[in-house]
Amino acid sequence: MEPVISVKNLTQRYGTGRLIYKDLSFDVPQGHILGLLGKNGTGKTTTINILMGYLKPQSGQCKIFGRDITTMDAATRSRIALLIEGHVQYAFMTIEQIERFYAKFYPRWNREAYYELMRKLHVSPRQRIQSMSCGQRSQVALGLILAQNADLLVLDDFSLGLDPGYRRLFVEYLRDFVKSEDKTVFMTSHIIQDMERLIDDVIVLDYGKILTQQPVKQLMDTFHCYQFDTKTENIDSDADLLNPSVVRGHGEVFSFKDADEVKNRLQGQGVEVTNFTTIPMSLEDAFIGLTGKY
Amino acid sequence: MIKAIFYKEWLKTSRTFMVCLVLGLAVAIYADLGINRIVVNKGVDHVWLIMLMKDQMFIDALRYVPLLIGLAIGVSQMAPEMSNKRLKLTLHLPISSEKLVGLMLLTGLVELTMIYCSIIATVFCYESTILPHELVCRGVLTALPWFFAGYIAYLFATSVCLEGTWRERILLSLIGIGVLTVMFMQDAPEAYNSMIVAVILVMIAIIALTYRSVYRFKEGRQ
Amino acid sequence: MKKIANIVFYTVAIIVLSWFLPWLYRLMLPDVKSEPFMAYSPVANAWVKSVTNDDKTQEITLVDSDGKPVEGVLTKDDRDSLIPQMYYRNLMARKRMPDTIAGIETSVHNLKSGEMVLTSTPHDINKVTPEVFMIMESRPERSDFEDPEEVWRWTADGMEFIRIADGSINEDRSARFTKEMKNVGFVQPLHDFSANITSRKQRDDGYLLVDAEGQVFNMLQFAGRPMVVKVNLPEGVKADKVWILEATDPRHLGLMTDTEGNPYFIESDYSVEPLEIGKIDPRNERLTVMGNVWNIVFRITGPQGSRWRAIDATTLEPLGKYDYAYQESFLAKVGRYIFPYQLSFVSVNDSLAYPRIIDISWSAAILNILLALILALMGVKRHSPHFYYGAAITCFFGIFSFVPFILTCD
Repeated sequence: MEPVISVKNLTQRYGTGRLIYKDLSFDVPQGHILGLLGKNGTGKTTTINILMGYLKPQSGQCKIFGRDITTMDAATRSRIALLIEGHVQYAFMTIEQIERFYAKFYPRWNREAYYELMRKLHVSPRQRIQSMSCGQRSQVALGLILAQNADLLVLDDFSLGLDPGYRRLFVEYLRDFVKSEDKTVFMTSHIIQDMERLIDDVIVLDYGKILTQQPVKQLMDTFHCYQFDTKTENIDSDADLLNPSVVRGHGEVFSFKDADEVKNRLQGQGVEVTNFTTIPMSLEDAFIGLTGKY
Repeated sequence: MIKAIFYKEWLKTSRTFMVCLVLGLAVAIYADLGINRIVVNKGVDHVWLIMLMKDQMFIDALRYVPLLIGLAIGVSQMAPEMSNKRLKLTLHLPISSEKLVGLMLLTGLVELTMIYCSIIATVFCYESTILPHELVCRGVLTALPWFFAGYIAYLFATSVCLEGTWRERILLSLIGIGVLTVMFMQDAPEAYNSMIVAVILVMIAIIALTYRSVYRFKEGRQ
Repeated sequence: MKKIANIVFYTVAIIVLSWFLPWLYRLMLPDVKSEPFMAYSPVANAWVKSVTNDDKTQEITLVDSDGKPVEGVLTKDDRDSLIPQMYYRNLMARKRMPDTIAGIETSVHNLKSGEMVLTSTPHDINKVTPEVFMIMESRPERSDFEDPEEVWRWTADGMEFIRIADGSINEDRSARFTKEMKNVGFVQPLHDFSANITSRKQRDDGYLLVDAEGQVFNMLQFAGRPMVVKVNLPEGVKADKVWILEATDPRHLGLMTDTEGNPYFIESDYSVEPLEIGKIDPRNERLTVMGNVWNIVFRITGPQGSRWRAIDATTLEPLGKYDYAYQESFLAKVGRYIFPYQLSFVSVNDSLAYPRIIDISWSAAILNILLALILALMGVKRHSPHFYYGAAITCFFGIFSFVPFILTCD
């Protein structure tokens, strides 16, 4: 079956300057939730802008529902729900007006889903969006996304501005919605702990390159954090010893290799280790392990 | 869908539209009162004499009003699209961007036409009760370039607002100021008669500038 | 559509710059059009020329009737005596006015009766005039003239008189004038007209009208009735422009030029007298006529300079001529190497707005090619077709297209 999103050899720079990434390729199959993770400025929003046709890539090909995004027609766009960075919406409209406006464009519009979320907001239906709090505005934007009942949801930093309770509610709602209706999601978020509950596959971007691209479960199974005691102050990083650090005799290193192999690699560098243990990780820990703290 | 686009554009511009309509009518009534004062004080023949011998049309108060209205409607309609790059939302609507931009501009142009027609009707309906049709037509033809300048100002305002980079915004603004200056270079009545067709063609052509800004936005020049 | 949008952008930018850059450049140019003051002396039969120097002092010299300078500088007293038509009050006050000059009595009454002034500018001629015309009563019931109470217009049926007070049609007067115009053979549409509609004058000579066939008519309203007389033009002469004079001396009814630009006086007996002052192009040249009992001086000013022609006021024979050509400044000459052409929308020669290309200069081709090369080199460096298009267009439009193409490179 053809993937919903197919990206081949995508290369993009800031203007004619710094490389954002080179030869980025990935597929998002139907029914999957893919999370694009990366530090600020690694090209997450740029990727969404390219996929949605707001940025011309330097090279590479992107297809959504089998159609080249440079020639994406209105019918294809109607199958995609887009949440843009900052949860921007038509702030000059009220909750009612904006629902009435969007309903005209989408034949599968789910008015109930929208108003169900809006009821939790405790705002008047005639209140303009611009007079709402940041979090409330985000909830309106997410409500509209869900009401659209699209086949593909593209969510740029969906958790921005949401309080923890609503974030948890939305994640659960979204997961249920996507899985029960076989929807596909391509998303980015700063708050990675939410992603862990939600996404099936992950791409981790670093400046100018892709660090990893695999199912979350596979990542969590194969990527490890090791802690140990050592007298050595500096450990050299390489492809198998990621982001090593030593603070007051306590060392930490991340690796896709198993414990014995990592221990051998450390000893190969002349690093004597004691109390070597494998530490259970969250997705956020794994992200930091891959990208580093700085 | 078309109705929804008009609805959205109306929501953005309705307040400005009402303010501009009131302002336009107020200036039009002011111009009428100016003529009426001369009619009452010196007689209608004095108005005719001045119009025929001194090339005075008594509508100078209107000169820059359509221009200001065009700018106000253009900015009120397109500035919200560019704050927080909201244009992305609009361009994501399931409708071709050509049709979408066309409908947005059509809304603004219809609103301007409604305001301009109200002003023209207010001034020249009154004038037609005291002046021969030749002088009323002369007044309309004298004022016509000002109204065209209003449409041109609107179109430049939309293209400047929808342009994503400051350098091109400044360039477009300077070009717009240049084109608009041409429309106010000659004060003599009916001076632009031989240029009216050319002005209409320019007006139609510069619609393309708004499309250019949108195409540039879609290419990532933001 | 994207291509069209870009074409429109650059086209509009080039048009705006074609007007704006030369306009900006002209602001820097000094005004070279300061002319001497010329008057024809009936005493010396020569021109008296006054030039105001940069230090505001006046230099007064004589120029002979052929326009050649006469050596020596005149004092202001000399000048006053040489042109008594202008300084007669001064001369009389100082008792320096002779009783007669060139056989003509120099009384104030006589001098004033010979005065004639007419100014015609292309700015006034080249404009859209309203299609309704005011008409005065030439023989008012009281001694003073009154402002018109009616206007007339042409309709398919003839002339139509409208009462200003209520906008109603004066059927009777309309019928009379229409009949009269038909009787004298006036052919519509009206080609040109001249009238001096004001109540502050001594005499009303009505309208001079030129019809579609170049015939000239004098139309007056006499006690509410039409009086239309056809002017006798020489065989083959077709009038183009007419001016009503209403000078103190009623000898000359008006001035006209024919379709060839030859000037004539229209005399009060409806004959015409050709004037040997050369051709005049009133649509492009400013005409000033200053007459006195001795001579009439025509000053004709065009884009290149001015020419003065003096004729005898009685015989209309030529007396003298003087030509003055404007000097092009250094900056204006440099401008020809910068701008391949200049675009203007208004002109001092008319009251109209429309685009006109002036000063096409092949000398700017060198700069055009240079600027095109710069764009082409940038294209090579940046591998951008934007600059190649710019270079090709700049070969023709020079600096006007170079500026937008260089400013919009991404």
